[in-house]
Amino acid sequence: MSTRARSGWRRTARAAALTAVLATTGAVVPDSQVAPEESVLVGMRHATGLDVGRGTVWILAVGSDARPGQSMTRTRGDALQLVGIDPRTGAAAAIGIPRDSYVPIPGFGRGRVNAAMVYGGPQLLGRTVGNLVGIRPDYVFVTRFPFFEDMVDDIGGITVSNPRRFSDENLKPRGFAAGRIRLNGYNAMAFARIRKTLAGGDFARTANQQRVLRGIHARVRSQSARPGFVERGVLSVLQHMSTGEGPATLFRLGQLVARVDPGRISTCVVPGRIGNVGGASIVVPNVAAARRYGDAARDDATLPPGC
Amino acid sequence: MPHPARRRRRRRHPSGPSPLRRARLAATALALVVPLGACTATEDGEGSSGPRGQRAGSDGGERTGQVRTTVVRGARVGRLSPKQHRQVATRVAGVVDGWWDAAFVEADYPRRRYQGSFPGFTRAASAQAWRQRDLMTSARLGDRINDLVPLRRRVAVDVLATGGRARAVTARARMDYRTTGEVEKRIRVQGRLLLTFDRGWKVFGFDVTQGPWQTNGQTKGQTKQQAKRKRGGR
Repeated sequence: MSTRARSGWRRTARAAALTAVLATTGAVVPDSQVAPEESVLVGMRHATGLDVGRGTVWILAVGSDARPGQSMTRTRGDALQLVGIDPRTGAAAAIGIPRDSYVPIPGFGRGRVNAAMVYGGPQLLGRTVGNLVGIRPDYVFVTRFPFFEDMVDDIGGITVSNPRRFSDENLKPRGFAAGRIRLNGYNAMAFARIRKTLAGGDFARTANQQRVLRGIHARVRSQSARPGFVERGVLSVLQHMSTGEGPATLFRLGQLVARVDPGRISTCVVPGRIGNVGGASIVVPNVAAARRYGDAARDDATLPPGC
Repeated sequence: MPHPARRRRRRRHPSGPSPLRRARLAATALALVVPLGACTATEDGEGSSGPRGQRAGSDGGERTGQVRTTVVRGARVGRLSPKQHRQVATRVAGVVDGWWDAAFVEADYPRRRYQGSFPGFTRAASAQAWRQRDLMTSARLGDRINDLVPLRRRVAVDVLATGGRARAVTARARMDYRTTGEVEKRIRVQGRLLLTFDRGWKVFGFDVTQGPWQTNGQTKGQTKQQAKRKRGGR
């Protein structure tokens, strides 16, 4: 027998013996005995804290449909999301307001909610939405579509869960597939804007905007530990949004967003019915439902399930 | 181009020098500390470390060890000169050092009192840190140890700047220490501190872990050789 063959035979014999020993051990050693430690999984506990003022922080996020040359803060707000974050628990709630909701605008009678910004800028829009939901936002953030696209691109795009396929011959002729889809800045904008081809119209679009917000949050959270990521995000917001807030406040809010627990995000869209005022189509919001959502989420940023 | 870690200069003194050497070291340290102030390094190289974290032992003043904090310039977002970044990093590292000293290093052990462990924190952040003092201080071990010796301290500072001024920073901090007494362990405290400027840099947020840190006492070279042998590349 050659040396190589002998060596191979020995290896086989050793392996067989080892298998026999292991099999015997497996049969003889009762389950209750402590197994030798081969690997250890230790959960690292984190001490976390964030000082962003008292209680839940409420932010009204507004997508303005200002065209080039128009003032972003004096045109209609196309997307309206009232977002609350509880820094103590990491819970977050988004209450979507259909832009055609016909509501009282303080000092201007009744009108579409998104007209409030034309009359009185972000402050009046904040008051109008606040009266509808019963929560006065602490901050109002306004952006326009191209800037929104840039911001999404700046954070590297987002992923959203799309419940149904839809398209739009102008904004997205090839459409968005159902399922988890990746969106760059332009596609995120189109996903949040398309309305006419959605069965639920303005309500479904508002829900899509919330899917985009979830996607933005997931991206921010996953990248927030990367050196400079939140700082770059804040700079992007400063360049692309009208906030009236300084970089230090935005940095704190950015950190707050990064701390939101994805498992504790709840979203609702204020329901209503389609109506008509002076020949124009409007949404008559269910004010009682809006107030109910506001009451539920005001303190802990948690909305009732299934709203 | 040399590896960043090699280009970075770090000054660290071993613990437990002889009395004569200790005196010489103290004199040298004084001579060095005053003109150096606190210098910084960038994560991609240049610079040096700052003198901080000198401590007295638990036996009433015997200097059992000194360790300086390596201060590193991290990401710079917005317009800020490298010199300003260095200055900000040094000041922020001073705030982090203040926490480490108060919460871990500058105390007599065994220790049960941890009030005042969070200088440089906002009031709300300090209250939150206090509620989690088992991770933010040495409180878990304090009453079972006789001494706590810092081994390494490192702070990397990411800066957000607008208008040529630093507005907010993230301090990525790491300190290794060992304990003696009933519990003898090597522990690593690491995480991120978030600061904004309000009459000085103040910590408004934190995300910190603390736990045992195992080493096998081998050098990097030894570990590499061992890995090579495992791969069969003898």
